[in-house]
Amino acid sequence: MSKPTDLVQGTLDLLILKTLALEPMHGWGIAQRIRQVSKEVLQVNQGALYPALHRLEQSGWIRAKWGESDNNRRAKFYSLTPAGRKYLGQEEANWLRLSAAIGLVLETT
Amino acid sequence: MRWIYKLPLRLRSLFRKSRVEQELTQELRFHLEKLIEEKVGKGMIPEEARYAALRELGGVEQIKEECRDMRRVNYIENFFQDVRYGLRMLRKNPGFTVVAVLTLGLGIGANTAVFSLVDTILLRPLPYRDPHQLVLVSETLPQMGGDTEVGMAAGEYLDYRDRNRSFVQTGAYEAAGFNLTGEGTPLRVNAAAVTASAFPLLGVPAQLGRSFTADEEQPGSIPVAVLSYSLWQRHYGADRRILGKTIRLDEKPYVVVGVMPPSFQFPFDGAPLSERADLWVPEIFTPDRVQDRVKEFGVGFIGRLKPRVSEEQAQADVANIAGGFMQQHPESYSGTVRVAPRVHRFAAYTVHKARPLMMLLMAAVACVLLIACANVANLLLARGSYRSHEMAIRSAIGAARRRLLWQCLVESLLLSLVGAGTGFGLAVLLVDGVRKFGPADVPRLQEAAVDPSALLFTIVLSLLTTLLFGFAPAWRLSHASPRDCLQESPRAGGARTTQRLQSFVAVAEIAMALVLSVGGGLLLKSFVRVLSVPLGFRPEGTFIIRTLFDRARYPDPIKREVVQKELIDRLSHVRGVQVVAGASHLPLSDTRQIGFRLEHAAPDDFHWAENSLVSPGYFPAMSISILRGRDFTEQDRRDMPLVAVINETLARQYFPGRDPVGQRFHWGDSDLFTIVGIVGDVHISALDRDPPPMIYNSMFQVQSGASERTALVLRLDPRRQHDQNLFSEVQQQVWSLDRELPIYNFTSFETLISESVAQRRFTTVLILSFALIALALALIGLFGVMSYLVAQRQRELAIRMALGADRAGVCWLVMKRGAALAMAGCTIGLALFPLGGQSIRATLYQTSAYDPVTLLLVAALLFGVALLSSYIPARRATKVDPMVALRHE
Repeated sequence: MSKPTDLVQGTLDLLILKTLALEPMHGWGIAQRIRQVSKEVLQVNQGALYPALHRLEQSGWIRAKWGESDNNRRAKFYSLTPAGRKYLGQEEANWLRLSAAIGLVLETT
Repeated sequence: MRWIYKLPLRLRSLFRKSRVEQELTQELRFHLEKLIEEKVGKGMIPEEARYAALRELGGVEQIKEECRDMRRVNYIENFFQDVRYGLRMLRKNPGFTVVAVLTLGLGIGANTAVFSLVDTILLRPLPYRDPHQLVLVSETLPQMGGDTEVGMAAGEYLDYRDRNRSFVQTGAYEAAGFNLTGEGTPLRVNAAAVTASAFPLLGVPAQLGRSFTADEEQPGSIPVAVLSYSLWQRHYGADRRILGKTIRLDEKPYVVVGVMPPSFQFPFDGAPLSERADLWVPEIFTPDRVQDRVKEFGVGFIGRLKPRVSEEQAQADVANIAGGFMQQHPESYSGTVRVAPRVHRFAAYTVHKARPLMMLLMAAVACVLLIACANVANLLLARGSYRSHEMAIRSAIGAARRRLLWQCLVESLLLSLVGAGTGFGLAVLLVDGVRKFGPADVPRLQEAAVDPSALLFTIVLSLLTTLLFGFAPAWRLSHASPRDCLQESPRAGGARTTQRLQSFVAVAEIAMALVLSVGGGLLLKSFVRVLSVPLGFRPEGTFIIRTLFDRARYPDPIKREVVQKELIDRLSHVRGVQVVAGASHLPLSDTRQIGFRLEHAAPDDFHWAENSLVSPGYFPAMSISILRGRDFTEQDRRDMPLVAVINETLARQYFPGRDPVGQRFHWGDSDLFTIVGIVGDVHISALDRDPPPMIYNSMFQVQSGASERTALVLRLDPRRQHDQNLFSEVQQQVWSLDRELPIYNFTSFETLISESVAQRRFTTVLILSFALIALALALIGLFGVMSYLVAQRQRELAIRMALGADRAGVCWLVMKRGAALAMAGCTIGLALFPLGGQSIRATLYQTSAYDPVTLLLVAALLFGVALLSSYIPARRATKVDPMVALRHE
């Protein structure tokens, strides 16, 4: 297994929010999705995932509801709040701007 | 808008914590199961998969903890946790807690109570408009002897009114009393006659109806009256139809035109509730009242100063006017009859008697507060050092520094709060007690209530102390490394500074306790001296009633005398009554002064003397010794030569070296009295003032303005002295003669004496209580310091004992320190006392403020008790087994 790239807190938040933008999901599902979509590069540390989820919930960007998972077990599903959706948009834009800027710097030097 | 989601979450985390925790566990378990599933799916056996999954997940508890941190209700949760922990800690050390709380409570309670009293009595503004502009003007007759301040004559008031340049408005008032009859029991009502300008001057409008108009001041107008709120409520049931109703005062009809508001009071002096004016009538200056300038001095003057006029300017102004009218009426003002007016600020005048008491109380209670705060500081410092060990361990385990400090803060806060609660309760109790048992003649004492700002101030002060001294050690410790604190029993330089600080505080406490105790001792000595002053008469076993033969129903003096004699006779036949006497004025309860002139003295050479009209047999009934000559007899009637009996002081002052019996003097313009007897001195106004010169006349020979008042003194058999039925029997006898005679103010001389020293007793008891509290606190402080010392030096003392030092020697070693602290405190206290001695001097009687016996006695007492309080920890030190002490690391 390749060493998972450590994710900075803000970045992890962004990824979680993006993942939830598509559909409500539980913690395990979020981690799986991120791994899959990033082609196994980004492996979210559980020790960081759940605190992040709880923090986002406490901040009001996402909300939680208990539901049934695919194999009929109870799981806690998270979804975006309207404010969270807006926040996601802002952070996405910031991130793209930032990475473009970094890209420019790397190209020239 | 996020708060829609945030708030329910917060509330849930606070109130449904177990549920939230459960959910977290479930959530993580779900994740774990999914992880295991994945691994099994990849081909591991379930067991292995489980172990692998757990390993991969990491520390579940830690994840949970982090999630909990995210919940951000932590602050509130932590706060409650700290509070619970703090309470537990306080419960575990009951000694510390109880002492600290009591100390704080005492300091806060006593201080708040005294501040509240002072505020109500001294500082609260009078119930009038702009009271700082109001002044009273009284007069003295400096050449007639004594410093008596009297009112003025009617004519003089009019001169002041018309010729002044300092006052916007002036008013006059005079004390009066009426029998209110016609409805139910006859009621004796205290009243005041006031000019129509008085109430507008004071700026207080009537609650119901109106006050007087200028017309009603004219002689011959229909008599009107204004009632006080309490009389209206008490006697007329707050009936709004009172306006226009007619009431009978001394058998004359008066129309009620107004009722004053509840808080209104006038005149405003130290009169107790039972003697306040309940009724006002217009002050009427008839022409002959205006004409006669020297016979009566009963009119009081109140004025409102013009905006930029000072007290001194007003003083100069009235002095000028007085000079003017004295020149204009040389026939009235000559010889010793010369008036000197004095201007007093209303506010200051009414409380000037209570001021020294209040100042004394404030000084005393400030001492107590300081000692209390110092004690709490000491306790906290000591405890801070004990706790350093515990704090170090917790810091080593991983407690955040902020958390530790916060916890210390919470503990200190808890302590302050509990102390403040105790203090508040105590303050309420104290103020209540003072209201019930305080001296009756301190104005507004009855209105005292706990003052919120005083309470706030003291609470804040104690809060600051607790926080400072509870927090500071924690702050210092949190900067030191845990390793230093954990190494051995606390011994570093921090401990020594703490010790020095504590010792300093203990010495200061002892010094202040000494100052208070010496004050209390001196006051006590004064009090005892006052009580043992020889009265001049025998007060035991007496029963006193007062009645009034008002001029309306007894216009003829002869008829009145017949009734008076009959009354005395009937009362002397009541079972258990040995002898009955009558008087118009009694010692220690009434005063009345007259001016007299010796027979061959210049026509204007008048002097003051006390006066009372008495019945024959008064002197033996009161056990006043007759020194020369004789008592009044039946023979001294109206048609016989006028006689008088004088007291020792008058004989000594005005007839030095001669026999006064047979000498004569003038009372008033023409009447010439012959002195027929000299009696022993009797204290008239107060026990701690010298007996004044006094003239007695027979009440059946002389008619004066005071003839209506009659006090009857019954000397009782021991059997009858505490009989409840006596009063009704006496009442029956009086009413068998005349049903409408009011009987009021029944009391005894013992009660009167007690009342006359009431204020002194109050002061003494208060100061002594404060001294005791201060002493107790100082001793506790010393005890605490010594205990701490012993704890610090446990090891050293144990080694000494192990090496062979005997217990007594070790004990002495410790006590030496205690003795040194006590000695230092006593010395400083003795040195400080002279500073406070000044303030107490005014209250002392026949006791020097620097009385060496008292000073040394109290100092020795304090020293002895302090020594005792340091003996106990010392002895405890020697009881410890050396081996145990050494091993305790």
